[in-house]
Formats: sequence, C-alpha cells, structure tokens
Amino acid sequence: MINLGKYTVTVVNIMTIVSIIFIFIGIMASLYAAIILKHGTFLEYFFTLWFWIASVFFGIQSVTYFLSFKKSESVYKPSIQYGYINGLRDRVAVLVPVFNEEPEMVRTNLIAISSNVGQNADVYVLDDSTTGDTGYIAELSQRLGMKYVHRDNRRGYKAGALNDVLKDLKEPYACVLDIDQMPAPDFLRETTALLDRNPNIGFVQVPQVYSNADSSVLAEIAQAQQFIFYEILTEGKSVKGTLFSCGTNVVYRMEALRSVNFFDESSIVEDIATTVNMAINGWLGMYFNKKLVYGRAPVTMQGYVNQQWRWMSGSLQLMPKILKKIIMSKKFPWRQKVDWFATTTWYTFGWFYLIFLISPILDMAGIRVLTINNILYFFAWLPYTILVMTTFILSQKEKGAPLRFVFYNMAANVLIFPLSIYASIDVLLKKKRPFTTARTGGKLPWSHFWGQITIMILLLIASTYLLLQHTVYTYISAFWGFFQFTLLIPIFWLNRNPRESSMDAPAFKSHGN
Amino acid sequence: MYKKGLDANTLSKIISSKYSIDTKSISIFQNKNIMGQSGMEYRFEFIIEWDGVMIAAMSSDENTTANDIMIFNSQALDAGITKKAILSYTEIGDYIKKMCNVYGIDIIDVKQEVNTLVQRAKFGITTLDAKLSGGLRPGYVYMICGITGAGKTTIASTFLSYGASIGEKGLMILTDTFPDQFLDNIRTMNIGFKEYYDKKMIEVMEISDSIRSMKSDISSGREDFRKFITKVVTELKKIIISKNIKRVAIDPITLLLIPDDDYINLMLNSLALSGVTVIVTSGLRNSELSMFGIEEYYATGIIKLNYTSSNEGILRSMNIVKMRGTVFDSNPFYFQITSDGIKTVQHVNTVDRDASDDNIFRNIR
Repeated sequence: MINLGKYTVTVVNIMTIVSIIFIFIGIMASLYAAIILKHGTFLEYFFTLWFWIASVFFGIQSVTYFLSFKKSESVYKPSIQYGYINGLRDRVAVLVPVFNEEPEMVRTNLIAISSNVGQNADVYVLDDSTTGDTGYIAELSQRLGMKYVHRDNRRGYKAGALNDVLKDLKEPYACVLDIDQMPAPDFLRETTALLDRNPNIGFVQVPQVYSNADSSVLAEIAQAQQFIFYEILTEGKSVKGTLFSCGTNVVYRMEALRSVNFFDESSIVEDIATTVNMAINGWLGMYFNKKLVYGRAPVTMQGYVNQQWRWMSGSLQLMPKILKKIIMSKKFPWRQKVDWFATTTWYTFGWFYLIFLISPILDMAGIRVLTINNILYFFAWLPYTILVMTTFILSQKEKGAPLRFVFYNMAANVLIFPLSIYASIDVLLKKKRPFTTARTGGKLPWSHFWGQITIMILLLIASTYLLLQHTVYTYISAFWGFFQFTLLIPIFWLNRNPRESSMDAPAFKSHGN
Repeated sequence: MYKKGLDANTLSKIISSKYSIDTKSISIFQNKNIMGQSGMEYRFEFIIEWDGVMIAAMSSDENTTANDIMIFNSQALDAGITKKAILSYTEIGDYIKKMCNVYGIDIIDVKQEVNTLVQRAKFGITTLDAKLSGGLRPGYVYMICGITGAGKTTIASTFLSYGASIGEKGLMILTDTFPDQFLDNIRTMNIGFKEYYDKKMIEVMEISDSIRSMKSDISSGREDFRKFITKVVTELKKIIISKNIKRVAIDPITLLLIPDDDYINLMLNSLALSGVTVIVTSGLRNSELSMFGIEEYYATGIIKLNYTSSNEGILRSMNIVKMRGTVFDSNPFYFQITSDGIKTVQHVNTVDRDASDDNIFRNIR
C-alpha cells in the first residue's frame, strides 16, 4: 500500500482540496458535454441527465465527506475540552429499551450495564417485549437494583417507551443504551464530565463499536460502514454543529430533552428526529470519539436489512422536516445546511448507483450515457474519478482503516442499492412498516437478491462484450463494468450463518461442577 | 464522608459494639430535654440508656470548639449524667482530645465505627483478622503479594474455604495452573477446600484459550484493551451474580494484566462489586509489591507475604502494607504452612528481618 510516511496528512489534506475542485470541474464538464456536445436520442438524453444528477449527488456527498475529513484532522481534537472533574458529576438515568431479545444476551448485558455504569446512575429497564417469558428480566432487574418498567402497548415504539419514563425523572442527565450494548466501566464518568464542562451541549455521543465483527463478512462490512461514519463523518459533524445522536451510547442533558418535549414519537428514527428538534431549539451535540461502549453488528442478512431499512426509511421520512426547518431557515449557516442536506438525501443513493451499474449494460445496447470527448474525458472526468477515489482510500487509511474496510465501504452501498430504492418508494407512498431491530431474523431466501444477481450477470456479459470492441471508449466502459461486478461479489458471502465471535467465546472455563 | 446526623438504629449498633451491650436493651432518645439540679432545662442531642446506665452524647465536627465541650460537660453534670460521649465526624484536635480525657468524655469515631459495623470478610486466621480490624471490607479488590512459594495460593484458598464454612460461596479463578492440578495439591491441606468444592460451595475456574489469545492481541496493540476488560469483567460478574458468590480469588492476576497504568487501574477498579470481596494474587518482579510495579497503587489493600531460610528452617511472615478505610496493624507476624493450613507462630527468636521491608513502609506511607 502507498506509504507516504509523515507526509501522509499533508498529502491527503491537499488531495481533499484538489478533489473538491475536480468534483466541480467533473460535474461542469459532463454537463457541458451533455448539453453542447450531445446529439443523441431521447433515451440517451434521459440516461445522461440521470447520470449527471447522480454525479451531482455523489459530488455533494463527497464534498461533505472531504470537508468532514479535513475538520476531523484539523479542528476536531482541540474541540473536545476533555477533563474528568471529580465531584462535579450529577446523577444519570440510564434507560435500556428491550424488545423481544435473546435471553442470554439480555442477561449478560444487563449485568454489564448494572455493574459498569457506576454508583451515580439509576438504571431503568424498559421492557416492551410481546413474546416469550420475560419474567427473568424483571427478576434480574430487581436483583441488580434496576427499575423494571413493562408496557402492555407499544405506543410510540422505542421513543414512546423512553418518554413514558423520562417525563417523571429528576436526574439531570439521561443516557440511552440499547440492550445489545455493553458499556465499559468508565463510559458514564467520561461522558458526563464532558456535559459538565460544556453547558451549551445538549448531548454527548460516543461511537458504536461492533465487537462481534469477526463473526461474519456481513458483520465486518457493517463495521466498515460504521468506521467511515464514526471515525470521519461524525467528527466533522461534531465540529460543524450538525451532529445527530445515534439512538444508543448517548447521554442527553435532560434540559435539552425537555426543551423538545422529549423523544420524537412520530419518527422511527427517533434519535435523528429528536436531534433535529434540538438543533432547531439551539442545542448542539458533541461527539466523543473514544470506544467506551461495545455493541453488536447484525449477523444475519435479515437483521442487517431490518437495520438498514429503518435507517433509510426513517431518514427519508425526515427529509421534508429538515428541508423546511433547517435548509429553508435563516437561522442556520450554509455550511450546516449543506451538511444536513447531504445527510437527509444520502439514503436515496440506490437510484444513483443504479445508473452507474446499468451504464455498461446500456453501452452494450448502443445507448451512450456519458458522451464526453476525449479531451474532457482525460482532463476533467478521469482526474475527477481517480482523485476522488484515491483520496477516499487515503483518507480512510490515514484514519487507520484496514485495506479490506476500504473495499467493503465501496461495496456495501452498491450491494444494498435495491433496498434504498424500495425504501424511497415506500416513503413516497407513505407505507408504514413496524419497528424492527437488527437482531431479528435469519438468512434470507436467495430470491431476495434477484436485483443484484441480475445486474451482476448483465455486467459480466456487457463488460466482456465491450472489451471485445477494441476502442478506447469501450475499454473504459468495460473497466467500470468489471469494477462494479467485483464490488457485487461479496453478496454471496453476506447471506450466511455467522460463526462464534471471540467476544462471545466464554472467558472462563468451569471445572467439574 | 459521613455527614452529621446519625439515625438511632445505627447509633444503637455502634453503642452495642463499643460497650458490648445487646442492642435490644439499648434505648435512644434524640433531642431530649432534661431538667438540671440548678432548675435549668437542657436539650441533649442524644440520650442513650441501658440497664440503668445513661449516656449523654453530642456530635462534633471541625467547627466544634473547646467551649462547646465545656458547656456540654457542665450541662451533663448538672443533669446528673456522669457518662458522656462525643460522636466525632472529623479528626479531633489534640487539645480537645485532652479535654475529653480530663472530663471523662468518650470519643466515638463515627466513620470508623460505621466501617466496623459492616460485615467483614474474615480469613479465619485470627492474628490476620485482628490486624485487619476484623477482616476485609466486601465490595473492594485486595492484593496478596509475595515471592514464589510465599503462600499466596494457600492464603487465597484459606480465604475461600473459611468463607464457605460460614456459608459464603467462593470462586477461584486460576490463570496459570490447571484446575485438576490445583485441586490435587490443595486437597493435601486440611482446610476443607476440596470438601467445599465437592459441595459446590466453591467454584474453580480457569481462563479460556480465547481470553489468552485476546490478551496477547492487546499486548501487541492489535486489540482495544477496554473491550477486553469489559468482556472479562462482565463475564466474571455474570458468574458471581448468577451463582451468588461472595468471595473471589484470582490467582495470579498477572496473566490478565498488561504493564499500563490506565489498564491496571481500570481492570482492578472494575473487578469491584458491591457485597463481594475480591482478592488477587501477584508475584514480585518490578517492585517489592507486584509484578509490574503498578498494581499496588490501584488495589484497596495489600497483604505481603515473605519468607527467609535459616538453619532452623523456613520462617514465613506476613504484613499488611496498605488497607484503605481500615485501621490496621502493619507489624509483621509469623506463620507456618502446615497440613492443617496456616498456623500463626506466636513467639519468634531473633529474626533476621528482610531490611527492605522498612523501605516498603516508608514508600507506602
């Protein structure tokens, strides 16, 4: 791998700036080519326009990514005024929502939570389970001195469960920990110290770490996605003032929660929705990048799909609100607006990956999607693509990502592109689906992946065909075809049974009795 | 820190232990008015009575002056109360101490007394328990250190055996020996360990291979140490809670540690669990108290074992080096490891004491 030694930071920083410039050049060049140079059919114009919008979409996403990276490299660390002040800590209400979970995991994590949150916390176990015998949760909660709350209805789902308890609490801080999360013994001490120090901060978020990433390729891909989010994007968002809370591993200031009438029950991504409400009320979040809580990646394809589906449709549902209350509001500076725009539109990515994926196939059918002349191609479009991809790779390497994470990150979104398309259609049609968690379900039938597999077959045929045409244009098109085919290959590893993670292997072996 | 304002129940227990009285026969009156011989009426913070004995008690803190003591004394005398006590919440100055002595006022150190009220975890070794003011306080992590063969494992096993004999379940975590070998060795000693093990009053466990490999990943920096600590501690606590264990020994702790201050601090602090007494053992390498020279700073208490060989045989000694929140006697005492376990040696002839011991005390204090 490229090793630039001590100059890496400088080189990557310069490359991010050059990349941003070339994003504009690339977009403008392709627009110029489409309008001025193009003499094609209606279909070609249609796909060219689609392709161009996709370039603009990824352009905006890339710019916010690179800006976040730059901020995380330069401003993030000094922005955390960190220091543990003894005796200044106030009490924390720790809320642990539980919904139809696997009993052994519940037992382990309740013990971890109860013993690791320390003396200054009151733990509330919010059990909304509808199936199985959950008497053991009540019994264990009582033994561990935690308050057990069981609801017969699921009004407002997770947000409802949290709100039902929150409204009567006196503690100045409220922490939310999902039941699949295991806090380290110093989690609350460190996060409340930050809230003590920064009275204008509404919440402190720490990263979600998938401690069972060694259990499957799927879990590792999920971890790679988390890496980009928690090592680069959130650090940037924390500095830019556009951080949203992520539902777990977060400690809120009760005053901030009260100011927005607690969690937003109208959204299935209550975490982001509540943060948007807080932002509108002037409360900012702080991201503390220290691994203080250990969670679990979804290990089954169904679980992963549930998780991604909820994030996608939830975020998309919030789009009108974010557009109206933040993007259109005069209160927010344009930098924050761009960032919120990128956040709220991100999950439409499936539509834009689709045009990239079908481009080589369309080429085979004689429909040219990006007709650009050689000069523009080699001086604008090619440098744009190469620069953005190289900077993307280098920025992750600079943050310590293993090379396979970089590949997984390029692959992950391509792999689930149909999900993003379905989610956006559902949101558009206002279809409702029940709240699901990432820990349910098993393997999916292979027919579920018909979209990806069809595209793979077509890409292989089209790329081979284009390769045999022996022109510069078709060589390039074939290259992208094969490249995207490679990104889709992991689909055959995702839908498998997980192996035991080292995190789940017993630490102590009993002898005899 | 205990704030002023004892409840009658706790005060009754303190009086009971201090004056060796049955709590049932003690009556406590708070803010009681008593008419003096002079005709004046006085209000006493506490009046404690048993079997015709009456004590007047007042609380004192850093603001209490000699004048306050004088007034208290004269009021009690006028009211005909001869037995007096002050309940002190902070350390009392020498002048007031002397005054109390002259007036015959008992000084009751509330913090100390409340501490002794907590059920302590005894070793069942009389001399050691006495030096510990009754035993170890549950809820903390203690270290037993000493060179190879000093008797660390024996003391730890004795601690668990004694606990089992009074109905407290024990857990022995072995990190460097196989349970079979350990049980084979410990059964030769007549301390009942094997019997309690058979009765399931003591669990014996070893660390798994996956823990060993995770640990080596941490040592080489490939893995996050906080994750490892969280996993180990959580699983240990799960066992403790599900099996209702009260006493835990980890023998030795070294294999679960890496030489890093933050790591050792977090690990040792995290092992503490309310109501459970945890002891860890450690050999000596980088300091006179531990392997890495770090452990001693983060344990609540340390008992050091030592031995010297002479013509008369092996002379074993033990002393308490540190014991937070407990009044302890740091003078060493001598013992033998016999087939019946640890036996205190009452009288020792001229002893060639390890000169380094004095240095240790100076360092710790």
